[in-house]
Amino acid sequence: MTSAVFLAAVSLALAGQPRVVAPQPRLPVIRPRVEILRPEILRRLPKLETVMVYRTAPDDRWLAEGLPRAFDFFGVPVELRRDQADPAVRYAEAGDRYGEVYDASGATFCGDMGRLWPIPNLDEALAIDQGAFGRQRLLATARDFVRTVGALPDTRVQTLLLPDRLVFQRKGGETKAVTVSAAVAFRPVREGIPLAGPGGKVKVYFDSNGKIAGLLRAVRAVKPFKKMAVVPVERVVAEIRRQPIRRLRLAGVKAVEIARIRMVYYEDVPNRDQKYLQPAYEVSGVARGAVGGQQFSVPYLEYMPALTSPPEPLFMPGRSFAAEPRPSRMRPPERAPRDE
Amino acid sequence: MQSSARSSPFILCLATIVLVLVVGGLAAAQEVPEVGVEWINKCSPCGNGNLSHCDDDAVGFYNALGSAGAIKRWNWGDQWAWEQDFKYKNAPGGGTDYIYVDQVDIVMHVDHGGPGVFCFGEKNHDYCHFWCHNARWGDIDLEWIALDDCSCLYNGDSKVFQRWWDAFKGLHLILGFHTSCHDTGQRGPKFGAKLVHGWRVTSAWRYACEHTEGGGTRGAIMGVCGGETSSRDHLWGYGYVTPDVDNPTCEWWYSFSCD
Repeated sequence: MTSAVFLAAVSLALAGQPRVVAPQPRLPVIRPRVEILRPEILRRLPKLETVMVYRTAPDDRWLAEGLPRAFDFFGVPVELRRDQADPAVRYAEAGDRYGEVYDASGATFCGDMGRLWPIPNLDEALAIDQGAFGRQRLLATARDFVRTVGALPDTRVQTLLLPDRLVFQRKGGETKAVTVSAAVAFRPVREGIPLAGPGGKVKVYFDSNGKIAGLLRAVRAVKPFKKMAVVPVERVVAEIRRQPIRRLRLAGVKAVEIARIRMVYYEDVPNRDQKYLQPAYEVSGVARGAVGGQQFSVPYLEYMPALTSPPEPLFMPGRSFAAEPRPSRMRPPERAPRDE
Repeated sequence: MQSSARSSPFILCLATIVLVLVVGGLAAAQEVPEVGVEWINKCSPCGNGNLSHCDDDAVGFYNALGSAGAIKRWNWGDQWAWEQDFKYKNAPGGGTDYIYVDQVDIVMHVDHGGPGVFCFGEKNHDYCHFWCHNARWGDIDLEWIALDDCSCLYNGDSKVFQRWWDAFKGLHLILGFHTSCHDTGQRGPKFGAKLVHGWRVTSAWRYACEHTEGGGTRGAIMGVCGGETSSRDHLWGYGYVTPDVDNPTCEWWYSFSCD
């Protein structure tokens, strides 16, 4: 379509739209100021010239031995069938008991959906025994469970306790906050470098009584591929200074304060046919900004590719969809507000 | 007379069948969810950097529900996604939520965001930013809205209830993030797939977040309590849906780690 025809078509389409005002100037794209809070965070990073890159594949040993044990623990049948709504997944279920596997990565999720991720009403929440979420007990229970089913990869792991918080507010201001459930996350560490991203984790979920209610195992099996050259961290910092907001969907950022830069292995989403486990720089800190005069500060975290010649893109490529054109006239309301 | 008496059981039976079909059809029609999505990749006209995967999230979600039989009402992206679609009629600048966002059951918005605000890429239909105080959702139809934008449900300053309280005019849930989130393009399809698998809306959102985000990201959900808690909701046609609460006396905010 020529630009003239396109413009004519757009003009025609806009003709019936409500309250179209004269075109307004574009807002300048904000370039946030970037500050490294402590210069030593750069010095403390190990000066690596090369890092091992791994070939990845679904973990056949887990799928053959661990998965049946995990499904059995939760009462999930092992006969898997294709999910029509998400063809990347095969699943099995029996009542509230649900289990699934991603073909591309072998990532497994299973649990008792009736107890998993509870969000109770106020009275029920206040009756939850907060003693059920004792740190030592949950960590020990989670460790025992992942060892029993064989969910941990054959490497060192970092462990995190992650409580699920529920806050209630009554009209007028009374606020109550409780922990309603929790999870313990295990992050594998390879050659001193932790795995990060949407994958590279094993999580054990606890219900509101502190009992195990679910498992997520999103760890691909790896084999050493070769050592590959690493981008110097100074170059990454320069890139971040040039454009600190990359994959974050955060508006109005005026300043980024970087508190930590570390090297991680980035394991992507479970439906991706990720062939390599490659390193990335994880740059984290605080983003400060203002939208409409309202100040805010929220956590900041971006992943930057760490290889000079990555064997594949760090992140899963997307597709390109078209938006539907808006109708040339507003459609009349089908239903009126209840108070009219 | 005799003939009429003989035919009356037949007529009664026929009438019953027709009645069952009509009532059943109406009930089924009410159970079919209607969905609308808005997404912005070309964010620069409103001062934000462009994104790449907002279309993947929103349209993936839209298609997941549509493939399962939901009614696809609108899929507007970039310059066709407008702030006024979300805003109530008498809000400053005047909104048209009564024609768009509040005429469907579930909506997803994907672009940049911040505490109590989400963005657009088009300045000619009111504003670049939608503010939480312009939300009065659910007084017509809307039950659930997913804000796949950073930090819309941020509560680090304990002001999330102050920001979003008035949005609940029959709305059941707002699904979003306490922290920043990333432009992955995979969250929308996963959220949609689990909804039409019959999962609770809250579980479907948490699953989608946990499978697309990593350390440092916390998802968040807001809902109403008082009578029943709206956390028990399923998508229409896939399980129990709690009744609307027009003026809630109690609201809740839930947050979870994606690490």
